[in-house]
Amino acid sequence: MPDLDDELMKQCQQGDIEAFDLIVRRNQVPLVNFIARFLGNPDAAEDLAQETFVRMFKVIKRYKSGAAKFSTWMYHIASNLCKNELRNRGRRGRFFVDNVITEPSLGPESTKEDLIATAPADVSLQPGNQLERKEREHAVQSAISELPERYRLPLILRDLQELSYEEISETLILPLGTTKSRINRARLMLKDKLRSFVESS
Amino acid sequence: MNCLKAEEQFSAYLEDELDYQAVKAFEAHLSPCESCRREFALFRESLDLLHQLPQIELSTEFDIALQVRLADAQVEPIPFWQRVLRPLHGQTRLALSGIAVLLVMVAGTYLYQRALVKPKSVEITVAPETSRRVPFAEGRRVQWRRQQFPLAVPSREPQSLVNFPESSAFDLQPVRRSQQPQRLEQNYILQTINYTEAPTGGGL
Repeated sequence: MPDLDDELMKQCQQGDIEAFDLIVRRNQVPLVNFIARFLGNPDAAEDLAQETFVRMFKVIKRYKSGAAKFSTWMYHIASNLCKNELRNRGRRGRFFVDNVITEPSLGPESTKEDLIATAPADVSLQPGNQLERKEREHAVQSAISELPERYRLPLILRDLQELSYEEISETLILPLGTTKSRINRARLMLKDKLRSFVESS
Repeated sequence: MNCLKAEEQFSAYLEDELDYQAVKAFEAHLSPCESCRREFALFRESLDLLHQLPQIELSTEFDIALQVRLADAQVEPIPFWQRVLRPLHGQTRLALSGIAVLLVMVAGTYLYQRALVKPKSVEITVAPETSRRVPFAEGRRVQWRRQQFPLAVPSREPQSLVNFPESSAFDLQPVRRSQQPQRLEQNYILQTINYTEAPTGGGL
């Protein structure tokens, strides 16, 4: 099955700017999610995702169709930008859980009454569930952010971006065996970090 | 299989990547090992939590900001020389270009000449041994070079003179210092560079 992004990239290399616009629309959400989960900061993620698209646009002539999947190429550029970002900050990515939940009416200091007042009809979005969900997300994101960079990247690519082991191996330029063992190690580390949360809940 | 080996295969077992023998060995270890069973359950649960993370939505400004940045990226940077010459008018620009070309040609010719004019042959003349100073020859380039030759050995004055009896058949007189042959500590070589054979190279 031909990769649509790959086809669009070919058109873009022939001067079709609108094809690149389509590529952006198809990939912007996964890319922002990937960067946000890696950095633990959704605000910085949008900026870096834009930077990734700009970088891709500038080096579009260097893209070799068929050499690797488009997603591999995109995540490779994004990974390098993320690593540079962390290096420039000189500190590990911090997570701002209040920015991740996108309900605008709920601030960081929202009380249970506020949540009840804005509660939707859907049972899954009841205040109790929302608080629980927020707490759970905070715990998981904190656990991800605490992982070393070399384990965090493959874990996110595998379990959140759902790339295959081969694609991750190409993206991070690692042997396939190393990629697999690193992902298993990352999951074991995540399990240890979430132990208290899982056992308490 | 021990617990450590079983832990290494958690992902492969979950993702159905183990062969039949490996699956049997894994299950044979887990079924009596309570610790591994507990860890494996926790492993699955933490992965479920990870997969349940909600998707982060984009802000409304994302598209606009990206379009602006992409538009900036499409503008090719103007080379330095174009930025300098652009504000000038046609004739001024032409004159400046002509001057620049002329300057490059003059500099190139000068450097070419300088590279060609090199001494071809060197005539060496040994200076008189007794004289330390040799007047410079007029109109010639003279070069002095200090040399440590074996003939330039300084002599010491004898500590004591041998007194022979007057009746000696040898009529020896103590050698006075002033009578000793004058020796130089060093010699000088006069190098005269003969320009007559140097090529002119033509041109200027």
